[in-house]
Amino acid sequence: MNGTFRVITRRTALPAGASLVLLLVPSCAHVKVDPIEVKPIHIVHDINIRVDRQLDDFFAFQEKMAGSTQPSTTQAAPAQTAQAKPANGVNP
Amino acid sequence: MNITRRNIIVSLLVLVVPAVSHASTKEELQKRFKERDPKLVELKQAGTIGETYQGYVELVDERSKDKDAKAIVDEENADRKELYKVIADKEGTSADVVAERNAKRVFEKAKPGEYLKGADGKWKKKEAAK
Repeated sequence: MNGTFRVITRRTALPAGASLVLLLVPSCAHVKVDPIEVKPIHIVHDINIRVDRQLDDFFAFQEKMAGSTQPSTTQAAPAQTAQAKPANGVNP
Repeated sequence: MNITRRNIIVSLLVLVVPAVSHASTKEELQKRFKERDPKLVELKQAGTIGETYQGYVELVDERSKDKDAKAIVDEENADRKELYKVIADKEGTSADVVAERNAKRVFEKAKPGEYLKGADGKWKKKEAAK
């Protein structure tokens, strides 16, 4: 019984010791990670957004001017469809 | 005494007047852009001028003898250059960055059939979105 226990202890002690070492090694290891520089990307992105907004605000009149010319073309469309639509009971 | 006073006034005018008259304000620039816009749109739709990826307009055919179109292009580009600088100074960036952002904006807003000059220096007609 005592001999069997010794064998089991030896058999288990080795893997247990190895796994303990494996567990302890990463905790002891000092891994140095370079700081991730996110700030400049944020700044560039932020500037782009602000510049885009400035440009959109400045050229907002273009949309208004384009919009003021559009209704004449869109208004003409229903009149054409009304003319194209045949009267009831009349086949083209 | 009178001479000194006059000298001070003249000196102040010499210093202040050029500073005020040199740079256009955003409002003045916008007024000029507004006035020019219908003609600019017309020339773009006719395929006479197009937008470039640098944020400026150019004659599609460099050999074109259309003096009016050339004048519009020159005026538009001069005002754009000034506007880009005004925005760049305000936002703490360079005029080139502002020009690039404007190019992106106008490329997206361009209507089908209008000419756009890409980074490869070639003109392409914008196609209708599918």
